[in-house]
Amino acid sequence: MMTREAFKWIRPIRAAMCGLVALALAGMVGVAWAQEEFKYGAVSPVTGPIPQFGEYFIRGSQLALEDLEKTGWIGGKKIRIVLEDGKNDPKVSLAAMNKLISVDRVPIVETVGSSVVLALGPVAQQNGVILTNTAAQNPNIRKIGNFIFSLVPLADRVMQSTAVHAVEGMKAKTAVMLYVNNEYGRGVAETFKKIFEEHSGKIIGHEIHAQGETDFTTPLTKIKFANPAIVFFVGHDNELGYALKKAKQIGMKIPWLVAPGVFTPLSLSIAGDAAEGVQAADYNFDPVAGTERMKAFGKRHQEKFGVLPTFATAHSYNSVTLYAAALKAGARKPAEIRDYFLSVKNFDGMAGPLTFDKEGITTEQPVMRVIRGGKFVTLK
Amino acid sequence: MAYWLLVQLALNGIATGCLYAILAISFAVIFAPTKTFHFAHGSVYVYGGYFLYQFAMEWGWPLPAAVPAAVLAAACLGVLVDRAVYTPLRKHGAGVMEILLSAFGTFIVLQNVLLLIWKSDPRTVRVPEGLKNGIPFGPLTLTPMDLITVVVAGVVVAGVAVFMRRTRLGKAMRALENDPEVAVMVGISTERVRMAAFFLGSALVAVAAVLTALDKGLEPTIGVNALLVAVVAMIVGGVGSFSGAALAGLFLGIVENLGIWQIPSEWKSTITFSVLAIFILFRPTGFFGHRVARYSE
Repeated sequence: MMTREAFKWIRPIRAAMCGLVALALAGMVGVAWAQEEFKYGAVSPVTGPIPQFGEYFIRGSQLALEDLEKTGWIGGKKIRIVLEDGKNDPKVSLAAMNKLISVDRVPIVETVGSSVVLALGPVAQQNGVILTNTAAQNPNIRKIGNFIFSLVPLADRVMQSTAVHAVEGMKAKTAVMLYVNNEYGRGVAETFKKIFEEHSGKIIGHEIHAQGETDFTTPLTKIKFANPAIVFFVGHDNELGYALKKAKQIGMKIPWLVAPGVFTPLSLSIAGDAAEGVQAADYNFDPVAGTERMKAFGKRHQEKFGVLPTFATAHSYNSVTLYAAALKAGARKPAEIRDYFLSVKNFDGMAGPLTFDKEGITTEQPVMRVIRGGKFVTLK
Repeated sequence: MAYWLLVQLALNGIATGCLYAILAISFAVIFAPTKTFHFAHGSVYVYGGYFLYQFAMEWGWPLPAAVPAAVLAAACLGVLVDRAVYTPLRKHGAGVMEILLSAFGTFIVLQNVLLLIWKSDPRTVRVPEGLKNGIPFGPLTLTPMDLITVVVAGVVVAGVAVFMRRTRLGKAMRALENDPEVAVMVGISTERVRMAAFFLGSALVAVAAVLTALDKGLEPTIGVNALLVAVVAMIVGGVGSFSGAALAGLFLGIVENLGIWQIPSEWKSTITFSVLAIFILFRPTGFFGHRVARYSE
């Protein structure tokens, strides 16, 4: 039982504690003020069927932050990445996007995956938040709104040169499409089919696979027996690696044409010599035989992470550094950042000069590459 | 030509079915005597493949050493999950639902630990040159890995059958499955049998993982599909029947492959679950087993 003597100490102790709490709060506010920073949101598939794209984002943004740190950030103020795992699932990604907008109050969000971009785009547009797309190709992304920026060209532009290459470069009259079962796969495949058939080609069949699929035995068996002039593949880099590996195992000799950005060092590491002769529409970024800057980036990435960077890594790097450039130019609100992005001409990006058209899509043109001797060789 | 495709799909189905048979037996070996819905079995499967990757690719062990080491490591992991998660819960009187939830939680924890160790990048295990190319038979092709899978499945099915019928431990596992109370009354050590079941089931699922790693590749997420196939095959085969599980695995593989003869191959998993629905509706005892309901009592 407490005595009257003990009670007389309670008031001073309580006062002291209140003082300490007040001091601590004041300190926290002070620290927060001193460390004011810019936020950069990302909804990236760190887990789920294509977790490698989460890694591509993490590595690209990390290298961008290192470079920004070397140049003194934005007048001394840091950029902080707020990363949410979207699992490449539109529902999960939407929840992550809403959290980034309402809780973290980020002015910009980067993401990948056509299904995800098509889901997040309207939310970004409605809330006046910039959404940068660093890998998705579905042509419908173009229609979402003026807060959406694609650092990769969309299928409607890319498929033109890809389908023409199939008909004229590969002399293909027939094709079977093997594509991933999502907005990306369907969007790109439908666009390819339309342009290929306009150029007198004929699609004689299609097979669909799940995201993250590792077993392609059944669809490839059916394609082998259908015997088209080419197989046109749309999917992710890991899926392509497994498909090529299996195609060689089952003795398939049909040439492959691959949608842009699918063929990466990861595909090559999985497929090995089964990738020989595969032709792919690709982006300008080439860490092996590209510009000196690309090669230096490739070397630095290889030393730090043990693998060569992909186009998605380079575009994540570009997205962060472009945002930093907008901040340096004085843009703070999303609308100001949007206007800066639209005004940029030939931004010195890691994947070559970056300019957006009036709909916010990069004007980059794809190149055709072939795998020879385990290396990407650009076709003339 | 269309009929050759049908024959090729049937051959593919046999190889796939043999892999499913191993998965089904591995799950049944644990579920039948312990009545534990070991959801984390899917994680043990993934770990089996990643252990092989670690030993063969990271540490450079030759495959004849790396394969048994991976199987052993996965078997120990399965026992560890039982000892660290299910056994303490059981001793505190946890019911079927609590165990199921803990198994699901363990599955997620193990998957995240795997991501921490090996990252999310897909992994492949380099195989000898002779295993890479298919063997043509006219318009048909068989791959060396398909043939190996069929042989391994045959050995596994025969081995488990002999183990269950001829060894004391196997008989004890069957006794525990048939009547746990009587099994205890006649002096069978349930703890020892549980450990043996988890060890054997985890080793067998690691065998399936090794075959998958050598034939296709490894992704952190492949465990869910493997687990679903194992569970469906076990139910279709008849819960409690190891030969039924093996036969159902083979049946599912063939039906899955033949079923997509005239439709896109994306419908494969729909076919699997349609088979499950048909069996639950019209033959709940599966090929040879008991009603599933008996296990939820």
